[in-house]
This record gives sequence, structure tokens and C-alpha cells, in this order.
Amino acid sequence: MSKTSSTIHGPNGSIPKANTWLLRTEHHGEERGRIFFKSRSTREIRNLQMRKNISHATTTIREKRKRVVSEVPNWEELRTRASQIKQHTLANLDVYLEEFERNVTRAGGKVHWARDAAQAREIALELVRESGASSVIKVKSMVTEEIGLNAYLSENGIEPTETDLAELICQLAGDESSHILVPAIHRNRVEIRDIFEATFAQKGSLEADPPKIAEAARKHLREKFLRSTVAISGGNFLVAETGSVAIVESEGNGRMCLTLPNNVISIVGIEKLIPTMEDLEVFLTLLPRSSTGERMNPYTTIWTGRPPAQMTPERETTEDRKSYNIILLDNGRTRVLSDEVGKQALACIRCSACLNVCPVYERVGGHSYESVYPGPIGAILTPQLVGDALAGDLAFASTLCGACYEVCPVKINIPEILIHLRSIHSDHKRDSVSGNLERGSFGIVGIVMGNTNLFNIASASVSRILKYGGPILNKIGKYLPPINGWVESRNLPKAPNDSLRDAYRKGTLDALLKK
Amino acid sequence: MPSSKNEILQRIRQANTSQVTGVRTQSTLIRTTPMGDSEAKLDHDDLVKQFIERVEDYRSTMVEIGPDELASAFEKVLLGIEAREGFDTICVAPPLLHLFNKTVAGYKVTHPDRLTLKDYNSKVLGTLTGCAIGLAASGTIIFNSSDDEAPGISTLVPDHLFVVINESQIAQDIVGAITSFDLGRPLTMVSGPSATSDIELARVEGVHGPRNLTVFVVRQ
Repeated sequence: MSKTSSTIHGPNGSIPKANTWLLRTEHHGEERGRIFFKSRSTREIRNLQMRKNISHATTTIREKRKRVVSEVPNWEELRTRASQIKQHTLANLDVYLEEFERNVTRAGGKVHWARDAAQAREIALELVRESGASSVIKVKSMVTEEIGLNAYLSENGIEPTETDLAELICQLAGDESSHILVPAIHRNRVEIRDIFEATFAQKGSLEADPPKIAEAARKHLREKFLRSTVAISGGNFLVAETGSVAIVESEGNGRMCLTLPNNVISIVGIEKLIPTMEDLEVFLTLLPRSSTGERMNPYTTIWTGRPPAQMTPERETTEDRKSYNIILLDNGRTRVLSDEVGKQALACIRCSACLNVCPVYERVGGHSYESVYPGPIGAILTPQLVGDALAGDLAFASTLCGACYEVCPVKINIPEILIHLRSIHSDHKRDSVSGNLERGSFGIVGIVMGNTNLFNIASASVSRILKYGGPILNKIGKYLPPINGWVESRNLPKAPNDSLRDAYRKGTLDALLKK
Repeated sequence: MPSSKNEILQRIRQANTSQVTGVRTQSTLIRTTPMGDSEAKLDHDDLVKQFIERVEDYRSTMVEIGPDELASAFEKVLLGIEAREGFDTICVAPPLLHLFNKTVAGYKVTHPDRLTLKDYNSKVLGTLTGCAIGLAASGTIIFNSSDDEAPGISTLVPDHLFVVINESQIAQDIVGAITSFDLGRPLTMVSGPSATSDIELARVEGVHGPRNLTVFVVRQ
């Protein structure tokens, strides 16, 4: 492990408490404790509705993605280019951030800088208060979830309303999101109908039919769109050379929020920057195909500085430009940047392709990751943002099969980062009892494997133990460390009569291999 | 205490000076453009055909018309749309107003300047507008808030969006498409009607924006 990483991921949590808002843990009565992926996923995997929905969603999107990706002849080169654009931007992030700030300012917008979640929330609250509004409408945004914005606004008397359908469902139900793209995928249509009837819709007024439910959301939110004066958004891409912001969406709620209210506030992570509009063309080709499996998402809005206000006869007295504020958020990203291996995670464009191909995610669902960021990307991002001490066993939430790396449109080597994080995790366990035991046993394995005689004796004994004791061990093994972890969910393997070496010596190798 | 801006920039510089890997300069980037070169050779007719097919793929309605047929084609489309109680108005972008004589298919033809936000929500059935360009590869229409277009509010709030595009406005793909605009005005890229798949991944059109998109492609 490099020296930098050890100071970054201090075992006692050198991570400020303010940066842990993205955790969705529920242990020890503490709101934001350590992540326990294994115990949470063991529970979640029994939720059959969730598994059915997620399996349907991931399978469908996977197929759609494959189809539209195959239409792009140079997909692989395009991934490489996107990855390099991101690496290049990160290597010069200070320069590009200042360029972006200059250009936004020139176009009349105002740029704010927030070192952590707490500061970003305070700036946002202050801006909302200045506008005089007591409520805001929100475009779906991961980063506002990461900083716990909604809870903070509510505590301070500002009512936030999520306008993306799935985010609205989660907000009304008090649910955590379970997928980056389709956050309410763990719910079925009857549950969603019930959630709506328990909140804004009249009891018995709704059918459990997706078009009817969507229609109810349309009516409910239309009122809010027409009345609201402040919208809060995230941002998919920030373009340094022009100061432009791009928001990519499907429902039109984003356009509503960006078009109707006269005050727009964006909160965006500093890693969302790209140098040029030409680079944006690359990402707009990669993102929708990777994310929803469409050639293009229904709506993309790109604006620079203060967008023009929408003039209508009743609004004539307003200024001809909206007020525009953007908060650039660090919240641990610069710490990730200083990790040679881990910094790749900052290239993420939140497409969720890695979730859809992950065999682990497909079975355990998004809630098992106990973080705003689920799936493979969550398993590498969350530990880096909150530190190893709080991330618990999250870096082990993977089989390292590499499917995520293959589909990632910006070529983040997720398995490589997982192994890197696991080594950091093991280094922190070095002085604990389990760490010592583990190191001790691998030391013994090392000695045995380094000596022919010892190895022969050991392999002969293991095959005998398996042969005669296997059935018993399969029954009582779950109480016997260290094999309990294995026997809990599967049987011990059956040992052949001869080891490979014995068979070779006896000349029966061919027969053994044919078995 | 340093300002948070300086603190963040300082941390970035510190992180980056200790790095050995990374693509520092833009000149070392791999040269490739979205969609590569292979589709770039479509001839004009195939390009228009691809555009029509791919916009249709989003469950939009495509109507091919001759140079002087917009008014009659639009009327025909409107007559085929189910009437909605109280929605008696069509918003028409100023450059297209001269095509109509006060009404079309029984709807009042109205200049956007005379419509309030409330009108768009409770009276305007749909909006007829021009656009900046179309992209064949992705079936996308780009608006750049120019005078040829009806205002953003009018293409977003009503149930129907009707777009007129000249075949000469259709480009192959996104390469060079968004870099060519004056960024003083917002760009809006539209690919099909508003849609969601948030409930059990079932696709539903018209969540917040227009429920239906109709595109008139003007052929010479």
C-alpha cells in the first residue's frame, strides 16, 4: 500500500463526519454507522418482489444497451477517448475549474465553492432564502442526495419536492433509492398506487396501472411547476471553455424545472467538468446508450450562465434573465484524486451500466450497498468518499468478474480499484485479532506450499478429510471457523480418489482428467 | 481560514503533483469522433430515411410533405387528434403564422406573445414550431431558442408538440452539431415525446412534457 493511501484512509476515520451523509446504514441505533454489506444483503436477498423487479429491469436494459451500442462502429475507441478526456481533465482540474468559473461569471451566473456537504447545504439554503421562496422543486440529482439536502431544507422550513417520478415515489414513501437510473425499481405498481393514495391522491381514485399512475403524478406536479420560483438541479456535464451546464433526462421534469422558475441553483461535483463542447458530443453519444439503452434520451438541456426568463403576459414585469447559481462541490473528491488507483472512479458519468450487468447487484439489490451510490460504482466510490473505517466490507461486494469494467463507457477499471480497496481494508485489520489470525494462517499456507514433502502430506490429508469427513462437515461446518463461511451456503467439494500428482505417478492421469 | 475555493484548488494541485500517470495534454488523446466514419457516407435520401425511422422509433408521428403542404397537412393531423375539453388553441411560431387564417381545424391560431402560462396549461392543445437541426443517427431534434421557434415554455407545457423540419436541416449525427451554436441561448435536444420507465420499467409517454411528438419533414 502506498504511503498516500494510508494517510487518506486513516483507520480511525480521518474523514470529517459531514461527509457521511451518503451512507444509508441502519445499525447500532446510529443513523450513519458502518456499512455491513454482508448482513444487509443476506436480508435483502429474501425480498422476492425486489429481486423480480430488478432482474426484469437489468435484463431488459442490458439487451437494449447491447443493441444500440452495436450501432456505433467505433464504440471501443470512443470509450477510450472518453476515458482519456476525463483523465486529462482531472490532471488539470484546477485550470479547468477556474476557466469554467470565469465563463459562467461572464455569462451572468454566480459560482460558489463548497468543500463539504455541510457547506454546500448552507450555501443552497442561503440562496433559497434570498429568493424568498418557502419551497423548491428538484431535478433528480445524486449529489443532492449525497449531501442530504432534502432533509436539511425541510429542517429549515423549506419544502423540497422531487419531480422525477421515481424520486417522487421514494420521497413520498420515505424509501431509499435502489438504482441510479430507476430509483424506485424495488416497488411494484400496486405499492406505488398505494403510496400515491396515502399521500396526495384520493383513496380509491387510482388504478394500479403505470399510465394512470404517471398521469396522477403529472397532475400533482404540474401545479408545483407552475407555482414554484426556485429549482435545484445537479448537472451531468460542465463545459469549461464555455461555462455551459448540460442536464440529461427523460421525463421533461428537468426542462420544467429549468424553464419555469426564475431562480435556478445547480449543485455539481467538481469531477463533472469536461474541457470543450466537442467533448460533450462524445459523452452525449456514450451516456444514453449506456444508461437507458436508447440512442438518445428524450431531453437534454444545455445552457450558459443566466438562462432567458420565459416571458408571458402575466410575467412581463420580471427580469429577462433568470438568476443562476452553481455550487461546485468537493466533499472528498480531492481526496479520491490523490489516490493513484482510486481516482479513476471520478470519471464516472452515473450511467448505471455497471449495475445492470453485475451478478451481485442483480441479486442483492441497491439497498444492500447502504449508500446513495449502489452497485459496482458504489462499491468503489463510497469507500473512498467515507473512508475504509465506515465502508466496512463494501469492497468485498463483488465477484471480480469484470463485467462492469467491460461495459463502463469511461473505462473505469472497477475490479482493479476493488482489489486496491481490499488491500487497504486488510492493512487496517493488520493489528486486529482476525487480521493476525488471517495473516498467521496464510503464513502457514506459504510454508506448506513452499515445501514438497509438507505439501504432499497436506494434500493427502485434505483429500482424506474431504472423503471421510465431508458429509459430517457439511452438517456441522457452519459452526466451525474457518470453514463456516464456505459451508454456510454450499457443500464442501468431493475429493477424487487420487490427487493429480498420485495419478501422474500411477499413469492414470488420462482417466482422472476424463472424469 | 482560506476560502473554500483556494482550499479546493490547493488540494487538487497537491493531489496532481504527486501523480505519475494520467493524460496531461489534449494532444495525446486518441482521435475518434462519435459514430466513427462508417455511417458518414449515407447519401441524402438515406439520411432523411434514417432520420424518419429513428424519430419514429421513439413512438413519434412522422409526416412527409411537399414544400407548400404544411398548412393542409397540419390541419389533417389536427383533425385526427381527439379533442380535449377547453383546449381550443394552437400556439404557432411567428414565422409560420402567415400560413393560417386565424383558425386551423377549428382551433384558434395564436401568437406565443399573447399566451400566458395558464393558457399553455389549460387552453393550448399543442404548439407548431420550426427547429435548428435534426440528427439522423439518434433521431434527435435540436432547438436553439431562435426566432424561428416558439418559446421553450410553449414546446414543453402543452400535450402536443408539432415540429417542422426541412430535409436540408438534417445532419448525420452529433459531430459538430452542438459546437456550431451561439451559446448565449439555451440548447434543447428532443428525442421523442416525454417518457418514463420508472414503474416496473414499463414505458409511459407524456409524464411532464408533451405526450405526443409529430414531425413534418419538408421534402423538396
